Amino acid sequence: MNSLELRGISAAYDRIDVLFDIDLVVPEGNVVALLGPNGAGKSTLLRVAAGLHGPASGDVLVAGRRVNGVPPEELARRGMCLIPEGRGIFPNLTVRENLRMMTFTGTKLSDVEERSFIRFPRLKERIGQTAGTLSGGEQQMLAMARGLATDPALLLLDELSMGLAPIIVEELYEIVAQVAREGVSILVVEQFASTVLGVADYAAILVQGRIVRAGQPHELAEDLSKAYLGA
Amino acid sequence: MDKFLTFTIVGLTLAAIYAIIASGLVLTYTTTGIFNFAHGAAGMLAAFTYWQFRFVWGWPTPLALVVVLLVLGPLFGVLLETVIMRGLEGTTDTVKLVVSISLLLFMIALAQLIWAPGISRPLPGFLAGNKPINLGATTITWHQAITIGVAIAVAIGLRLVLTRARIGIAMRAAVDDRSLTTLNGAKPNLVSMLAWAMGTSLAALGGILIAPGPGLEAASLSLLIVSAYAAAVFGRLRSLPLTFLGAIVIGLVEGYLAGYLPQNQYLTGMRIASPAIILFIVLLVLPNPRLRGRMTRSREYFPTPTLAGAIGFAITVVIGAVMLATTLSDPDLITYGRVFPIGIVALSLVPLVGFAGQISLCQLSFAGIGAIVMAHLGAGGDPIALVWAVLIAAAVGAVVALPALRLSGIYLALGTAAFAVILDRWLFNLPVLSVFGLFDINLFANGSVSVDAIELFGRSFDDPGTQMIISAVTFALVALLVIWIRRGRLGRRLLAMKDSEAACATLGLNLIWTKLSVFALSAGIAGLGGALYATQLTSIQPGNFELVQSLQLFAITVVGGIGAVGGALFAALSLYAFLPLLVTLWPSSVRWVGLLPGGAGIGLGRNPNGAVHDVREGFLPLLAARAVLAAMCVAVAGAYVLRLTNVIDNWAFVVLLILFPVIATIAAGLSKPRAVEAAAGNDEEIRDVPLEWRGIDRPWTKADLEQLDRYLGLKEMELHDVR
Repeated sequence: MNSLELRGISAAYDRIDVLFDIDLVVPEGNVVALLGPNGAGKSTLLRVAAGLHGPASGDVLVAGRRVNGVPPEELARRGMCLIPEGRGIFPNLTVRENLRMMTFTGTKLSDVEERSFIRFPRLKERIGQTAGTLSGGEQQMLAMARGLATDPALLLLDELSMGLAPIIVEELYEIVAQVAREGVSILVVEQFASTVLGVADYAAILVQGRIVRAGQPHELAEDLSKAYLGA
Repeated sequence: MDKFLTFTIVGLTLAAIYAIIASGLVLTYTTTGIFNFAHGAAGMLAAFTYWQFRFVWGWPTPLALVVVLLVLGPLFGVLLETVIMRGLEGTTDTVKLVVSISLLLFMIALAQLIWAPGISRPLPGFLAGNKPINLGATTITWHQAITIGVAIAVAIGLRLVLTRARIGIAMRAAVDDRSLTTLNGAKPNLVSMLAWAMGTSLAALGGILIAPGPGLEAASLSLLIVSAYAAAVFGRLRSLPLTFLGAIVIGLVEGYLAGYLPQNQYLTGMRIASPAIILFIVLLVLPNPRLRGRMTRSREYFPTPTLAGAIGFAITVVIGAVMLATTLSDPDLITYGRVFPIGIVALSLVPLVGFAGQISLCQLSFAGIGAIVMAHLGAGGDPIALVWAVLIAAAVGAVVALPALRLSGIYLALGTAAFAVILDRWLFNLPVLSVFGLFDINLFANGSVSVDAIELFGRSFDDPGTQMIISAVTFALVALLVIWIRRGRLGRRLLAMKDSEAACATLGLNLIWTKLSVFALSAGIAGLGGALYATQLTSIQPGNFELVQSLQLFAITVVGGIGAVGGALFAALSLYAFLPLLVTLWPSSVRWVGLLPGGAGIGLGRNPNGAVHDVREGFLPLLAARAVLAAMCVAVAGAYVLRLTNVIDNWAFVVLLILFPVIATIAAGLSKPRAVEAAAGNDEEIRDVPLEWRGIDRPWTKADLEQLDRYLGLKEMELHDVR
């Protein structure tokens, strides 16, 4: 069974086409990395998968069922969790209130807090603080906490590393690897490839809205520079 | 001391009401990004409904309150959110504003339709029969005590809901990042609906509490509640605690002014206008918002007018006016003569709002200034007064613009509305003001001022037909001026400023100077329109230049298409020709005709380009088919001759005037070249290649070129020559 399957997805913003006939599969329990340069359409692909952006054509299947047109909040309740680009937090809410927002998918607040604090004890210290005043790393931890606390079946991660120190990125991907070992299917988008290729089972390279190369991480390593430099 | 306490209580009661209303406004604004100008009108409708239940149908007070506050109020809020507001995502501030202003106009008209104005409807305060509570030094009525108590309860209740309840937290979360709330599994539509339900219910509560004071009158009650908006601005439309603080400041100021302001005829208006004055001041001292670097993506698109089109438009307007002036009776000419002066005022909105993206809700106030100048300096018919009207209105416009320079969007709308209120409530009602005995300032001294017709070379243009033609020619000239600006350097600057102020600033464009000039220009045009309007009315009073009329004109001009001069003509024709005509044809429509302008504005969300855009698209084939166009002109001229020779009457003439263009458009459509359809067939084959990649993987084809031309909006005719 595939946790996520994209069949012939095309997508556009107004009249600007962004994705062209994308086929992509995330097998259950696997980590798939989607790599590619700026503007390739990686984030759009995740937005389509999560129901935030309707595809112009093609089908999105989650756990074998077609979910085109299903609103994002419904997909979230069915176990899909997209941690968006930037900081996926509510900056004007406190950490506690941010955690409270994670209970809409049906997880009890006590469970959310317990699961978050085991991995990120720092959040417990900052519980009453406004999330916007946390450091960049702490904010990303809070965003990641949703991926851990709501016990999703499918986790979509968009550029976890953005604007963070390398050591924090390492830490975050350590946690991604742990989550993967627990059997969660993960589709992770990254611009900077080396870290993510270490945790991925499969990888695909997206350039100008098309998948130009796909396979196992070691097969792709050498193609990457070509993709980025456009050679 | 007793007096001080008494007026403290008066002030705190007002503060309580403002706080309740403003908190509802903040709630809907923050969660959905729409500033609801009709918020006060919702409170007004609630007060009327409560009055109906309680005093006409004799329901017990608790039942009436529960039905209005907990059933009808929330239901109405949900209705507004689902039917109207949800469709406004992705539109500009202007469109959002027009929709909510139209809603305000619609609700006022609706209230006047159900509860005929002019009838006294006493609404006693709560427990009005009971003896006031004795506080020792002073007393407090039960209504006052209940009002203050309710406001405190609302403050505590909102605090609890927004910080303790999960749905309340989700409402605040939606302010930060709406799409992220959906990723969390919260239902954003439910969140918005709840916000609107709560907000409208708070407006209803405020409306019921405030109405016993000023009494049940639809328009003034709706706009009186505007005072509460000032409180919301204290909190920058976001912070509830600051909003409550603002409400206390405004309420107390109003209370103490009532108690301590010297009783003279110059200052009574100032007390009534004080919330608007405070609003103006708060906008001035509010920390400067940062320039927004993000480009606002919008659905609006206004093409550059062509020179031929502009001249054609001007000539058509003048010919139309001549036809009207020679065929209509004098009373009709007075009725329909307002079209062109008001059209000029509407034109003043085009460069300001349409090009520069600034918002002004006080254009008729500028028109009023022009009218006053005309009345006083134009006594005896001196045409130079028109120049003075333009210059003085432009100068006032520049002065108003000075504080407005640092504002944008909704704050600018509020600032200009506050200016209009200050004029309406206070300055326009001042008696003759003697400045140190040196000279007198006289506005509308006796409530109304007479205006003399313009006199030139010893001839007085006092007959309505000539006045109409003068106004129409002026309208046509101003329209040409506006188009000339659009096509020139200033127009480019204004459009660029509308798209991105930050980008303009980095390019070295002087934003302040540009904004100041467009404000002055716009106010000057409005002043000219006002001056001509005044000569047509022959007697003017403050009521001719009120905020509500500015709102109506603003809304309908945007409906017509604020980016083009046609939109201004559309607004003037709709409001001052079509509506009176409808009432003439169908007298019983007078009861509900007031609903139409608001209704039209509410429908705007669907087509932000405006109605004129569609009309012009419809006529494009006709303009291309020269022979058909010429035949139509001949036919219209023939009908005009028949009318002048009294072969046909006015009604037949009007029918022909409508019929000929319709027939011509159909005829032109039939003779349309088939090339367009052929090109459409090619689309299918080449659609697989994105437009910007054409010509890369294989050579350009003619079909590619045509598709690109159409995408870029180049006219086919122009391109044939090139090829």
